[in-house]
Amino acid sequence: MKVAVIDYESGNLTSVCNALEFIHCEYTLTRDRKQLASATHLILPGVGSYKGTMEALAKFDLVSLLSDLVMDGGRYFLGICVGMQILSKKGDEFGETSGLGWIDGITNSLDVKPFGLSLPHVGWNEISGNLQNSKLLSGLKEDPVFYFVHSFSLRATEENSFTGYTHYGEQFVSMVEKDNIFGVQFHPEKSQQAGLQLLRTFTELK
Amino acid sequence: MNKLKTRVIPILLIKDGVLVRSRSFEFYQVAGNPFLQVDRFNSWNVDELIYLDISRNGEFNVEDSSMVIGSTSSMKKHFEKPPQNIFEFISYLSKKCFMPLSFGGGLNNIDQIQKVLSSGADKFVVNTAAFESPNLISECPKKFGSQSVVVSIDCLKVGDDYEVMVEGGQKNTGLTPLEWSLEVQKRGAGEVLINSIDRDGIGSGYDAELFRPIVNSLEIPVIICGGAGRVEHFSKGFNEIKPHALAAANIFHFIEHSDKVIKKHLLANEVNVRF
Repeated sequence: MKVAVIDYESGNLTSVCNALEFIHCEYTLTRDRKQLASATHLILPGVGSYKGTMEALAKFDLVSLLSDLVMDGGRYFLGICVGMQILSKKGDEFGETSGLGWIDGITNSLDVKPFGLSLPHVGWNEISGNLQNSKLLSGLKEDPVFYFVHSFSLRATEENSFTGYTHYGEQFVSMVEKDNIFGVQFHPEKSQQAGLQLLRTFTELK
Repeated sequence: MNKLKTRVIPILLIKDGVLVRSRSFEFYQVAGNPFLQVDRFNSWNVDELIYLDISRNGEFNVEDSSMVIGSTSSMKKHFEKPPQNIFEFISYLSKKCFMPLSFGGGLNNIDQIQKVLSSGADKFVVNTAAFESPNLISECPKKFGSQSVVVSIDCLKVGDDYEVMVEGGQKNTGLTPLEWSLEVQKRGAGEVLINSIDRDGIGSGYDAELFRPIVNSLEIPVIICGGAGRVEHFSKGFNEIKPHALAAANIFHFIEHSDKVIKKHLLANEVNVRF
């Protein structure tokens, strides 16, 4: 089992790395093609915008490599926050950008004004859905409540192995699991025990 | 529907390198070495941690702390080299803190703020500087994201009204808390932290008259602080004020397992909190 955290020079990869160290999970922080290819589990932490993230991945020529490794090569992949959002076919933050396209659906802004709420959605919120279908939530001893800070959401359309929902004004997709691909809109590295357990569960998937 | 949880947030006050409690903004020492208690704070079942450095000399002085506490064997065991400045301290704090971490205390320029965030804090807290440098807050959302900007507002009751004080409660701004809260919201603050100077350390409960108008008028989240001396104050404060977050400083040091006790109490009173 080899874990790689994808280094695309965004701010704050540190928190995810600190979390992996805390749970005694060895990992490599890299964008080197060989190292990524030799990993069994890939983590893409997401900070910033859809467009910024896709541009950074393109800059380091990682888009088709990741597609090969994950869609064809069966590597486990965990996208966090914007890392989940870019799983979609496209996003409309700062104009339209193509995403990785591994999950059906588009990414757009949460629509909360009708409910008198404001963006970003920030704070602790819960996951609902058929939780027993979730691999990532299976080790959880506490309630699935995690820390969110985002304004956009991946509107997953197809039937996935598991879809998790969260309520903030509207109900939106906050977790998606499709075979070896996992996306979480929240930040497990900021979600105390529940988040650490989720990371541990991901890194132990076989 | 909105299932966002109401947050419970301890505020950890550090003065000249030592953990302190406060009363009406005067400070007493708790036999507290912040370095040795960090793991304990990180393990609390709370939703965020806010560290405020209220040293008056403008610099986080680790050496003072070592002098007060002594270069004890426990300090030596814990550190090869103790943090030498606030940025190293924040970095140390953040390595094992897996909930949102905010840091504030005398921050007054963009470079400092940048370093606070890159050292590992998720949010930074500004107080006096927000008032004295009008452009400071407006520059930050673009650079760091509005969610990282917390403006702290200290309020003192003067006659029948409340006034915003800066410089650790020493200087009157001539503004009301509501006026100033609306202004900082306009400038791009992500959250406001409203502190009641009068209720600070008194333990008589949250001041609804101060907090309620602000919570009702603002779109951004409001964190209230000052006066929580008993567990019951948390549910009373929530029911009367409905803030996004309930913060407190002293109580977390004086009640056993306060984190769990407070959360349990809130749940029993049907407040939507994470437990």
